[in-house]
This record gives sequence, structure tokens and C-alpha cells, in this order.
Amino acid sequence: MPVTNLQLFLPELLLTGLALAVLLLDLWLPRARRSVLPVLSVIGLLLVGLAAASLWDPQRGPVYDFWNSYVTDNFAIFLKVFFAAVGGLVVLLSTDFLRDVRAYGEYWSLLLFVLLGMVLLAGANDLITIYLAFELVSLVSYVLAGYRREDPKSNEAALKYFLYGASASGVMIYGMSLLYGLGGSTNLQVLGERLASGEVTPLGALALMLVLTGLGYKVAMAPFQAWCPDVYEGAPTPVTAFLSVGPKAAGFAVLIRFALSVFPSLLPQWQVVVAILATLTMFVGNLLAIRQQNLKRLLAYSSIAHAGYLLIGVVAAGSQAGWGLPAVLFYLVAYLLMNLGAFALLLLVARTRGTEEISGFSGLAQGAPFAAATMLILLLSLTGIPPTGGFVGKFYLFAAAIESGTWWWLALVGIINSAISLYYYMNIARLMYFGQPAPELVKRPAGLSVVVWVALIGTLGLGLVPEPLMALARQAGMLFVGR
Amino acid sequence: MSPVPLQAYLVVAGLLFAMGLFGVMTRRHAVAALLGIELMLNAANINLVAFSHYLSPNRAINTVLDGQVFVLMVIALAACEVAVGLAIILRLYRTMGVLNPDEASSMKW
Repeated sequence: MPVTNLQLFLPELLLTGLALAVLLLDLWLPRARRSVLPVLSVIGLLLVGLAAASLWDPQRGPVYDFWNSYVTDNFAIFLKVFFAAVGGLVVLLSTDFLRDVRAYGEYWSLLLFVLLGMVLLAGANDLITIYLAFELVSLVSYVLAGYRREDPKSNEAALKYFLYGASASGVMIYGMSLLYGLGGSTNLQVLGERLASGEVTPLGALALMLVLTGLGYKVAMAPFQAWCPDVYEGAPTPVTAFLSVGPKAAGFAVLIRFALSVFPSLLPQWQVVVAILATLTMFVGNLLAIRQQNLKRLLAYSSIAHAGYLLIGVVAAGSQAGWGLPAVLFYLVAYLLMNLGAFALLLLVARTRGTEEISGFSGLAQGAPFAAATMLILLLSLTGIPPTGGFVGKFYLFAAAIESGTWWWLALVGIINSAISLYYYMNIARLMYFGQPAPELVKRPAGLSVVVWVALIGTLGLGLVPEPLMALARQAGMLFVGR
Repeated sequence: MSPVPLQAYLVVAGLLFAMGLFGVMTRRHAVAALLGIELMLNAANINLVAFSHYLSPNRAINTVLDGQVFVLMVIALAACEVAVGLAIILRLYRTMGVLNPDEASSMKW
């Protein structure tokens, strides 16, 4: 069947319409009136989020549409709401920054198109759909990374992102072509069934490795993380904040769907590979973060480390989907809140003190006690210390690893890495509270204030009452349980 | 005339892919790296078309069309990729005056 129920695609349709409307308005509106575009984007994304949330139905199983190439299930709906939230927060984060640097043109529509790609990636159920959505996310991300055209660093970031990204997707598409040959179909379920019936061939293992490379690059998994620090440092700060959460979450979504639908037959093999790479990713991220002086670069390494923690959940999901998947989804939400909050404060400090170095935070507690206290809570959350969302998220991830039996040692690795990360996160806290006093921060721009408040309330809220979100995450993960 | 076996196509595609990957990793010039990426995409295209042909029960009429459609998508996206890539390379040349990703390296560790 092409389409059974058009209502299921309301979020996608709304988002497409919004992106096109913003693109056209950007063209027609006089320059002075373009400040209405971010307002329109936030309202539109709110509607997209509500439309996606209204589709939530724990009773309904997956609905396959467009000749089985696109699926609407609770896992995808959860992520669609999540992506709408990512988009809204990033728009709020970007408004003042773009005004300050006098950036021009299509920023908002580009952002909305990446979001559309991410939403499509959440529901993609066919190699072709996955590839198209994946490239929509990637290509527009390259442009966003190089958005400050006159800034050499931004250009350099875009080039590195592009060369690494395009090579990785070339490797992935080659892997997909082999999969197509092995399974004779591009549909994930059909592929899964046909691969399960035959024996495991070296070619199948090779295809798995190639596809894993492409997706691993997207989520910045070691050893494909080399692009990440340079891109995050060079890209405009709001774009960095976006890249560290959005495309990464989309990469995880498709990695999970792919691994659980296509490769149940190769389960032990990919679990071993991903477990080893998760360990590597955590250590690389945390150990290299220690010596960073630039906060954007530090957050880049920290985001690599967090990808490692999330991979623990992916491995666990292979054995115990009921534990692993909800843990990954919960952690993505917690990470969104704490990471975007940290970036909002970084933007605020950089705006006042003109530096993105950690030293910019020196003595923040005297001049701006509220900002310093918020940053402290977000840092505690990133480290994984209660009573924060980061702690609960890590707890669920490690619990999933222990529950899966074989992979309990990943929890141990995760705990060791959390201890390492304590050092560089608390270094910032030390500077804020014991550094040289510095002048007060300028008046907070409205957009950044909203993000800081949402991050603060969300992080503490998830830490104190995690159960409501966890219940939703469990329902979203139910789909793959019992396969 | 005997038909060309599937393996022949796969070998050609494999070689093309290896050449592309080698080019991306060793070439100093950004445009040459871009060419390497195109080779990798086309290796996948050869695979897809060959599989699509050999998967059809009746070889005279191709009935398993997924692979062919996939190839069209890959070609279209490769064009988009080149457009974005060349735009980025041009900007870099204007601001830094270099075409070499190694020279355009202000950020380390």
C-alpha cells in the first residue's frame, strides 16, 4: 500500500511546509523584518512536536507505509518529538548569535531542512530511504558548519566535515549495495529475514562493517571521531550545539533500527565490535578532553565520550531490548538538556568576555552567581552525579549493561570513564568559584535565558522524577522487545 | 557469446571502490579527494545495477528494480554532494588561499 493514513505523516508534512515557507519568506521579506523568521520557526516546531506527540499510542504497533519504506512506530514518534525539541531550543540559541555576527540568509530554513532529514531518518525503513534522509542531514550540516563564510576557521571546519562525511557515506553506500545483493531487497525487514535464513558469510560481515563505519562516523564513534573536535571548534557555536545533539541522535536512531532489524543473525558479532568501539570511544573522548583549553573543543571531546556511553545502551539493546533501548532514549533527552544548557552559557560568557577559552569562566561565581550555579549543575549532570538527569541516564545505561549479562564489564568501563571526566568538568567549576573575579555578564538575551531555564529545570526534573519520561521511553522501546 | 558473470562486475566495483578510498586517503588536493569519493559512489552503483540484473528470475526483463532506483538516487545525491563540496572548497580558497586540507589546518588536538 502506498499510504493507509495520511494523518500519520502530519509531523513530516508540517515540517516540510514550515521549512519551505521560511525559505520563501527569507527571500521576500525585507531585511529588517526577517527577525520574524526565528519566531515563526519556534512556533512551527512547537506545532510539529505537538502533531508528533498526538500520534503517540502505546497500543498501536508499527504502521508501514509508502510500500514499506517508511514506518511509524512509537520509537520513531518519540524521536520526532525529541527532534522538534532540539530544533526549537537551537533556534532560541541561535537568534542573538546570528544578530551579533551579522550573519545573512538561509540559516533558519537550512536548520529546518536538517531537522526534516532527522525526522525522516527516525522512520526510514528501507536502504534507499535511509540513504536519502542520511544525506539530507549530512549535506545541509556541512553547509551549516561553514555558515560564517568570511571566517577561515568555519570554512576549514566545513571542508573537514565534508571530506570525512562524504567518504564515510561512500563507504556506507558500498556496504548497502552488498547488502542488497545478499538479501535481494532494500527493505529492512525482508533483508533481516533473508539474512537470518542463510548462514553467516564473510560478505555479510563485511557489509555490516561498512555500514557500521558510515553510521559510526555520524555518531562520532572512535576510530571515526577525528573530524569531530575540529568541526565543533570551527563551526559557529549554535551550530556546534546542534551538531553535538541532533545528527548524533538521528545516527543512533538509524543504528539501532538497522542493527536490530537487519542483523539479528549477526548479533554476537556486531555486539562484540560495538562493545570494543564503545570502550575505545569513551577512553578517547575523556582522555583527550583533559588537556583542552577551548571549551567548544572540550565539549566536542565530551560529546565523543557521551556517544561511547550511548553505545553501551546499543550493545545492551542487542541482548535485552527492554533495558537497552529505553536507556538510550532517556539518555538522549538528558544529554540534549545538559549539553544545550552548557552551550547557552558558553555563548553568554563568550559574548561578554570575548573568549571561548575555559578561562572565560574564571570568577563567574562573583559576577553572575546564578549562571555559575546553573553551569555547576549542568557539569554535575554531564559527569553523572545526582540529583541530575545525567546521573539517572547513566544509571539506566549501566543497569542495562549489567542486565544483559555478558556485557556487564561495559558498565565498569563507563564508571571508570565517568571518574576521568570528573577531572575536566570540575576544573571548570573550580575556575568559576575560585578563579580571579571578573566583570558581570551583560544582560541576558531572551532566547539564551529560555534555553538556560529549560536546561536547568529539565536536568533537575529528570534527576528528581525520572519515572514519567522513563515510562514513555519504555513504551517506545517495546517495539523491538521479544525479537 | 557467453554472458559476463556477476563476479566480474563485483571485482570491477571492488577495485573501483579501493581506488576511490585510496585516493581520498592519500590525495593532498581537496578536488582530487572529491574525485575519490565519486569513484566510491560509482563502485556502489555498479554493484547495485549488477545485483539488480542478476537477482531477476528472467534476465531478459529486469523485474527486481530496487537496485536501479537506488542507483538513480545515488547519482542525484552525488551531484548535490559535488555542488556542496565545490562551494565549500571555493570558500576555503577565497579565505585561506589554499586547496589542501592539510595546509588549511589552524586547529590541532
